Amino acid sequence: METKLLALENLSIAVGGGKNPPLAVRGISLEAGGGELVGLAGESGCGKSLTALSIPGLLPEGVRIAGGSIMFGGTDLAAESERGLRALRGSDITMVFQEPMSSLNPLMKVGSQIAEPLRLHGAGSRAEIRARVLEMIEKVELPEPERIYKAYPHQLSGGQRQRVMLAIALVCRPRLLIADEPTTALDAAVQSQILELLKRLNASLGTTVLFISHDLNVIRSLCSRVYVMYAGRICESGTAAEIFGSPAHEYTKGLIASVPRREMRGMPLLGIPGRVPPVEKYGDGCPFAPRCARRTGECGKRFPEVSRLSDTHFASCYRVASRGGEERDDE
Amino acid sequence: MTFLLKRLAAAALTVFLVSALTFAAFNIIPGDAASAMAGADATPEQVEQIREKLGMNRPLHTRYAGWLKGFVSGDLGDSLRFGTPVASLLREKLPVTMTLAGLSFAMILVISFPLALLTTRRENGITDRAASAVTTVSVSVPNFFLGVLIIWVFSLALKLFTAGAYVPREQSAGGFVAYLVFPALAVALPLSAMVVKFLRSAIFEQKREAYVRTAYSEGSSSGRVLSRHVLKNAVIPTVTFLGMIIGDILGGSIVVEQVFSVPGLGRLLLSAVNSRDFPLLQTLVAYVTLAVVLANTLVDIAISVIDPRIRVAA
Amino acid sequence: MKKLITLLLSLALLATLLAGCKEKGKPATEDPAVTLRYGVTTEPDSLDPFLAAGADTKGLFFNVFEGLFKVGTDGGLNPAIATDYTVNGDSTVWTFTIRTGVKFHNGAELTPEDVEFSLGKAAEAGYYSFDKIADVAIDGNVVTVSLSEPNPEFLTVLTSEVVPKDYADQASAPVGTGPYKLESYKPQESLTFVRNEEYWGAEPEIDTVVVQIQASQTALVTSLQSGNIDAATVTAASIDQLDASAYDIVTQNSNGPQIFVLNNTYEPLTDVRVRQALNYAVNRREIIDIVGSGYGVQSESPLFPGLSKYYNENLYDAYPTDLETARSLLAAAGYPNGFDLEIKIPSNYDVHVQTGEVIVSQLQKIGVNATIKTIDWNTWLDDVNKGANYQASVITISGRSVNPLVELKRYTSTSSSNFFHYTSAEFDDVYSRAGSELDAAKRVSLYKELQQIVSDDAVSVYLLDIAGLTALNKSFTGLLSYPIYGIIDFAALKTVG
Repeated sequence: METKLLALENLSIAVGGGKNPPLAVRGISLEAGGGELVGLAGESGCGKSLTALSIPGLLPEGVRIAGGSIMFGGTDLAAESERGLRALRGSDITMVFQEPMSSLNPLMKVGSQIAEPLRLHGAGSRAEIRARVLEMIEKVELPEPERIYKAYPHQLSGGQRQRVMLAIALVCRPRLLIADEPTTALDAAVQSQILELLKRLNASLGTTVLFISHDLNVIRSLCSRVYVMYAGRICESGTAAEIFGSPAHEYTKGLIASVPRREMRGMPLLGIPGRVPPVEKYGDGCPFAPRCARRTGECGKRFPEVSRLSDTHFASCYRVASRGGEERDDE
Repeated sequence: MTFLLKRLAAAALTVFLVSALTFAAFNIIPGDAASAMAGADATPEQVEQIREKLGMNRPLHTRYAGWLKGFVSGDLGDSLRFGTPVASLLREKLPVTMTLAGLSFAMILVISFPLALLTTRRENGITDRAASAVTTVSVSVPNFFLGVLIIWVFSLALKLFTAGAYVPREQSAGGFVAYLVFPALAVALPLSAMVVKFLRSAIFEQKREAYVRTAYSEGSSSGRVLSRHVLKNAVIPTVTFLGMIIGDILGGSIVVEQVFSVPGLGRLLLSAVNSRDFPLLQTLVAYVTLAVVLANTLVDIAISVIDPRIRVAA
Repeated sequence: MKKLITLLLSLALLATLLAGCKEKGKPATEDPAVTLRYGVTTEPDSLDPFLAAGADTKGLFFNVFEGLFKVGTDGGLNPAIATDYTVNGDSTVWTFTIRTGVKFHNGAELTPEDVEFSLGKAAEAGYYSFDKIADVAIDGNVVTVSLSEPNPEFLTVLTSEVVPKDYADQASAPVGTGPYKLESYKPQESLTFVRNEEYWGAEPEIDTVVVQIQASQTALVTSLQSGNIDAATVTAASIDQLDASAYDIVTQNSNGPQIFVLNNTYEPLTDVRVRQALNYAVNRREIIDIVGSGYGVQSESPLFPGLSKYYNENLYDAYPTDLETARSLLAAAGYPNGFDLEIKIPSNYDVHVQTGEVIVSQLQKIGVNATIKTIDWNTWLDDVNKGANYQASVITISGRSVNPLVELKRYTSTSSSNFFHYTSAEFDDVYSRAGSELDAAKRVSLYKELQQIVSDDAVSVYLLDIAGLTALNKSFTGLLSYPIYGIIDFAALKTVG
C-alpha cells in the first residue's frame, strides 16, 4: 500500500485543562492523498472541525492534541514545532473556512490578501507575485482580474469572496487543502458553483482535498471517499458508492435516511431519535449506543474494533463484526 | 468638496450655538468684569467709571451682537481684564498650548501603542491582567496630583528641571520645548492609560474575528498577524477616541497649566471666567469649539482613509 | 517586527524625556547688570494708573508713577514732584512748587501743565476728595489748588499719579516719572521693569526687576525652592519648606485689619450685645497661632498698627477672651441658646477660610452654630461688598491711603462702601468734625475717638494684623514695609556684599 500524503493515526484531541480533560476527538484514523477529494461527514459538534484544525496546528486556546499522530509527507505534525508548522501553513497545507463574509481583512485589497501566502513563503519580486495573483484570480473563475485585484472585500459578494478564499488557499500550490464547511453559508445556486469550481481546481492542480461538511448531499456530489464521524469517533469509512449505496453503520443509515430528497415530498421528515451527548459524557463505549435501535450489551462498554467490509469499506460496529466482517489489525 | 463645505457649515453653527449658550450663562452668574477688576476696595464710582469706559452698560444682548459681528469680520475686540486686544493675547498663548498639546499627543502615542501591543499576547494571561489593573488605577489618578508628583520627583528630587521656570519661546526655543515636556507628561500619562485600555480592548475584539484565523492559516506568525492585520482594524475605533482627546488638550489643559505655571490658553480661560471678561471668554470658547470640531473632522477624514468601507464617494 | 517597533518607540520616549532634562533655572543673569526676579500670583488689573484699582497693581506701579508727594514707610509723606508747599489758614488754598528737571519715561520734560492735567484725571477717576477741588492755577512753576471746603489732610491724597498730558497710551505702555520704567508686560507671564537712567532722585541699584506671574501659591513656593525667583510673599506654613541658608524671611505689617465682618442688619446681629458677645468669644491669640503659625499682631481697631501715627493703642486687646461674659451678653439679648450664623468667605483667600474655621470652633463654645460657605470672588463682591446678601464674612480691608478719614469713611452711614450697614449718628458727627479740624493734634485725637466708637459699638469682630512675610534671597537686602497697598519698593533693594 503506498504511503498516503496525510495519515491521522489514533488521533485524540482534549478540550480544557485539568488532569483529565474530556476528549472531543478520540482515537480517529484517517487517510488522504494523491489528489483525492475525501469527505469527512458528521453532525455539528462531532469534532470534525477540531480534527481539521489540528492538522496545521491551529487548535484554539485550551484545546490540544492528546494522543496519536498526524503524518504528513513523512513528518509527524503533532510533534512538529510551531516554526515548522508555520512553514507549511499557507504553502503546503491550506484551509478554507465557512464564513466568507468575515474571513477576509476588510481593510486590505483583495489582491494583496491573495499575495500574502506568496510573500510569507518567499515567492520572488513584486512583479512576479502580482502575476501569480492575477493568474490565480483567473483560475478561480473571477471576471476582470485587474478590478478584483484592486477591490476591497466589502465590494464582493459572498460567492466571490469564497472564490478569493480558494485563491488564497491554492496560490502556493499546496499539496493538501482542508475545506471546513466552505459552502454552508452560501445560498444554493452559489453553493453548487463553488463546488463545481472546487472539483475543477482539484482536477487541474492535483491538490488533495479534505472536505468537511454536515451536508451529505454535498459530500455525495463531490467526494470519492467518505469518513463518517459521530461524537469524536469515526464510525464508518468507504467510497462514496459504498457509503451511500450500502451503509453499514446504524448512524450512517440514519443520517442518509434523514436527508430530505425530492421523492420524499409531502412526507414527514425522518430524524434520528435522541441527541448528541455532551463531550464530557462521551465515555469508553460506542457513543451512538444510546440512540441505536440495534445496540447490544457490549456497545456501551468498549468501542468496537474496526471491521473490514471490503478493501475500501470499514465500519466500527459490533453488529457489523458479528455479521462476519474480518477484524482489521490496528497498525 | 461638499463634505468639507458641510463640515464648515456644521462648525459655524456649532460655534454660534455654543457662544450663545455662553452668553446666556454669563447672564445668570453673579459678578461682572468691572467689579472684578476694581477689587473689593474700590468705590462704586470707580467701578462705574470702569464700566462706562469698557462699554459694559449696554444690555447684554447688544454686547453679544456687537461681539458676534466683530468676530465674524475678524475683529475680536479687547480684553476687558488685560486691556490688550484679544487677538494678540491669542497669538501669544496659542503656540504655547499648541506645543503642549503636540508634545502630549506624541507622548500618548509613543507610550500607549507599544504598551497595548505588548500586553495583548494572550487574553486573560498575566500581562493582560496586570495591564488591566495598572490602567484602571492610572485612569483614576487626577492630573493635578500627577502634576505635583512629577514636580516633586523630577524637579525637586532629581533636579531635572526647574518647576515654575517657564522659558518663553523668544528666549530659547529649545528651553521652551524642554520645559513643556514635564507638563506634557502630566497631561499624557492619564490619557495614555485610557488609550491603552481602549486599544487593548479593540485589539482583543479584532483577534476574535475570522480574518485572523485566515491569516494564521496562511502561515503568519502572531507578530505579523498583530501588526499587519489586527492593528489597523483596532485603530479605527481608537482614532475616534484619540480625536476626542485631541479636542480636549487643544482646548488647553487648565489644571496642568496652573500646576506648572504655563501661560497657555487654559490659564487664560480660567482668568477670563474669574474676571468675567466677556470678549476674551467668548473668543476662547469659540476657539475651543472650533478645535473640537476640527479634531472630529480630522478623525472622520482619518477613518475614511483607513477604512475603505466608509469612504466618502469621491 | 513587533520588537523593533517597541524598541524604536521606547527610544523615542526616552529621547523626549532626556530633552526635558535641560538647563535648570539659572540664578540671576551672569551679566554685570543685576536682575532681581520677584514672584507674584496676581495679575495687574490695568496698566493705566487711573483705571487700576487692585491694591497689588498699585503696589507694583509705585515704582513707575509718582505724585506731588510720596508715601513714607511711617505713613508720613515725602516731597516728590513737588519740592515744597504752603497752605493758607483754613486749609482751603494749597500752593506747590514743582520740581524742575524731571523727565517722563518717554523723554518729555515735566511741566506744571502736566500736574494740572493729572489732577484732572484723578478727579475724573473719582479719587477721594478730588471732587472738592474748585480751581487749579499755574504761575511759573508754582501750582495753586483751591478747595471748596477745608481739608487739613489734603496732602495725603496728593500721592495721585502725575502723567504727561499729551500721552494717551497709558493702558498699553504706561509712562510716569518713577525710578523704574515698565519695559514689557506679557499677560500671565511677567512684567519687566528697568531702571530709569534719568531719574530725578537717587539712582536705584538693581538694573532690572522681572516680576514673574505664577499660577498659584504652590508654584511660588516651588519656584523659590528651585531658585527660580529671588523673592516672593509666602505664608507662615510654607516657611519650613524653604532653605533657611538661602532665604531671609522679612516680616512686614500688613496694610489692613483682618475682620470677622458682621452684617449689622441681620437679626441677631442688630443687637450690640450680640456683637459684643462674639467679640468676647473669639480668641485672637489662637487664630494667630493656628492660622499664622505665630506670626501676626492682635489688633481690634478698624485702622491698623502700620498707620502708627493715628492708631489707637488702647485697642490692641479691646475685648479680652471671656466666654462667661459672652454667654451672659447673649442671654441678656435674648439668645440664651445661641443662634445659627452663616459666614460667607471668598474661596481664593486661604487665610480667611482657615481663620473662619477657627472662629467656627470658638463660637461653638457659646452656642453659636456657625457654618462656612465658600464662594468665588465675584460672588463675594456681589453678595457681601455690594449687596446685603450675607450674615457674616471674613476679609481684610487693605489700606489705600495714609489719611485715616479715607479708611474710616466706610463707617459713616451715607457711605456706599459701608457693607457693615452700620449707622451711628455719633460716629457721623465726630467724623465730620474731624474732617474740618484744623489743629493737627486735635485731629489725631478725633481719629482715635472714631476708632473707639467703632470698637465700643462692636461693628464687627476686629481680629488681627496679618503678618506679611516675604522670602528674600540672601544675596539681596533692603525690603521696606509700607502702610498702604502692597508696595514693593524696588529702588530700596540692594545686593549684599
